[in-house]
Amino acid sequence: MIASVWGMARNDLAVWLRSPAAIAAALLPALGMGILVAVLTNSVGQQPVALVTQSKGRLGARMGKILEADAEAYLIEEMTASEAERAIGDQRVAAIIVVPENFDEAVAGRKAVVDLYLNNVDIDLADDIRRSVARSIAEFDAPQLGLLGELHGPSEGILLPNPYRVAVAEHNMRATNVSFLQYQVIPIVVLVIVSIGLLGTALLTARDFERGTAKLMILSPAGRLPLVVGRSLGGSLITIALVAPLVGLGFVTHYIPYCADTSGAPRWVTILFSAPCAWTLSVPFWSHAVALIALLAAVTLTTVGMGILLGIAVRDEKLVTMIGLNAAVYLFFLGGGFTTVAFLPEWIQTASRFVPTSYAIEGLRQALFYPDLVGFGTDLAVLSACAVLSLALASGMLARAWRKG
Amino acid sequence: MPALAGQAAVAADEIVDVRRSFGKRTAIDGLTLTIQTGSVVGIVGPNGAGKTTLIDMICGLTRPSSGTVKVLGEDVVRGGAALRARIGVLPQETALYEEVTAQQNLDFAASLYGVPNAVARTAEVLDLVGLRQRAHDVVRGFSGGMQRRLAIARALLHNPSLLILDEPTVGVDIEARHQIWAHIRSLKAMGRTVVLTTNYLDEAEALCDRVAILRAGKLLAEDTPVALTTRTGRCLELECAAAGVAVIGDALRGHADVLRVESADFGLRTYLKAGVYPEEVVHFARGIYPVNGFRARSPDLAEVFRSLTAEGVTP
Repeated sequence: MIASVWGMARNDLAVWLRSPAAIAAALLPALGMGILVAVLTNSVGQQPVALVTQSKGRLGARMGKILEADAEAYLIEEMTASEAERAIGDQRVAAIIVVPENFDEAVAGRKAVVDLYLNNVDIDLADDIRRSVARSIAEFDAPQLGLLGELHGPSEGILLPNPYRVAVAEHNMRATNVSFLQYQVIPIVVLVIVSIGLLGTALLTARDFERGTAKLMILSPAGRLPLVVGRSLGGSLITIALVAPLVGLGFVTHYIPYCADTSGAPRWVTILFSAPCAWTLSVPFWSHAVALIALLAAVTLTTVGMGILLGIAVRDEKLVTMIGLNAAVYLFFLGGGFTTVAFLPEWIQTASRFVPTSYAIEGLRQALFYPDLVGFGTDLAVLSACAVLSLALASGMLARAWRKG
Repeated sequence: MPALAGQAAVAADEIVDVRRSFGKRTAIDGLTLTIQTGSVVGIVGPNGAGKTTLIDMICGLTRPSSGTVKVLGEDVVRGGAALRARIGVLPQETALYEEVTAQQNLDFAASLYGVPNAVARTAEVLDLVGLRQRAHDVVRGFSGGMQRRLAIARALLHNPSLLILDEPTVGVDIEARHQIWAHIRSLKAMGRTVVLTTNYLDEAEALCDRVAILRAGKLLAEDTPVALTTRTGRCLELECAAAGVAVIGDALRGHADVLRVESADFGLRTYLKAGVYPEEVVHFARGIYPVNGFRARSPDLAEVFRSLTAEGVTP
């Protein structure tokens, strides 16, 4: 039995690795989606803004530094006034922030202003800049209300006395902050797994019917269990063979200077070099490694089982490719690929409860980014149940279909 | 039930009054056939005759709607993995993984059949079909004939007692066809039981000890090629002018020693009953219209087939 299982898995792996068109069909849409999400995240999350610091005084310089430090909000580039005017005219920057020449004197007289010239063509993007500038100005007098306060949590007794009568006492639910780009990487990883696991296994199964190898298998004395287990193992090995290098590179890029957020390298360089390998995934806590592996295994087996079901149902390579890719995209979307499911309309939230990828995305985020494993058990249990169910169904259908075929 | 050749021989397969229907369509209709161990049996018939359904029932892919199919002494429906391990199948579509090498295809089959000492055995069967030098080449680059030979090697890999070849030479060129024939003859020499389906009657005539002729799911005849041709009668070809074809033809159709008469481009083709001297029939014909020449010969299997399918002869 072991020889049959391994023979089947090894054959599947060999066939798949010699099918560059199928690999491309499974990988390229997912990687393309990854780059698209990275570019969109970058363009929405951080907009290019020109900073013109005309003040030569100490306070003006400090104001400039506070604005520059808010790298989470925008990509600041220091310019002269004429350069900034040209840049906004050419739409190379979304706004110009000017710290005027008399800033220090004006602060002393409590009449200081920071000029904001805003290309308010998009209210959402314009509001992002407005809020960020307001936060930086608040930080000038009350650090606990600015970025510094957000990063360091409740500030009572630590930072300056609050000149306002009300302060924000922030209580973070999680001990770590995760960048939006990192947050969005996880659905892409899941999409890659779904694309390869589902499409890869579905293609192998459909081809077996198309070229008659299914008949050969059922006529052998191997029996249906080794065949199904072997196909599942083969599909899983294919998925691991293609996903592991991407995820591995995602972890490795954490240590590569030009890929790290703190490198100071231009953003496009980071995206260009690290987007194809899942960007900079945070290296998981050691205690979470087992949970992470269990979840990835459950997702892989679920998608492989679904792939076998699809292959049996369709039995046509071209149709399988079309349906498989579409299914992967819907699983990505309904699983919260583009945004957190909780922010989506009620009916999508309801639908996503029945979509295994939503549990995969949530579980992976929890295992990778946060020190606790809140809700992880549910995610893993649901995915494991999905894996068992899909493989059991696939087993029954595969044996029946092959015998008829 | 057809006469059994060699009564002392052991029956490898027994198919008794088998029917198989797919919905309203009857693919096999009350077919009874015995295949002797160590023989090569050809199943011939036009497309849709039920050849592939019969093969599928023999190898256990399709269950009969009624009747019994015994293969190697076991009921094929109840026979499990042990029975399947004793049958080798070459499907019509060859069913090879074209993306990988010949060796990898055989390794896969060896793992499914649990072939002991697989490395040596794959080398042996590759030698047998003359593909040892191409073992590590990707199958996609193989010609149709080479792919067929590789598929035969795979069917032989687990040393089966019964080999089923579904149209083994379909779609291959003449040279490859003769190579495959040579392999099948060597299998016969090794004492294996071979069941093959074919659309080529010359193939059945060249390879088979016995031939079963199917039409519309029924067995029309089953016998040795020689017996089948004898049953059809000796063929007599008469050369005559076009004007003579009709008058001689009409006269011969009423002749007690003539089984059948066909028009041909040279004149007439007739089939005579066993024991009839052709010269007597020629003499009779010349009495009606001048005959320029004649030729007597044994009919080939194609003529037997035409004769049987035209007349719906019951075996």
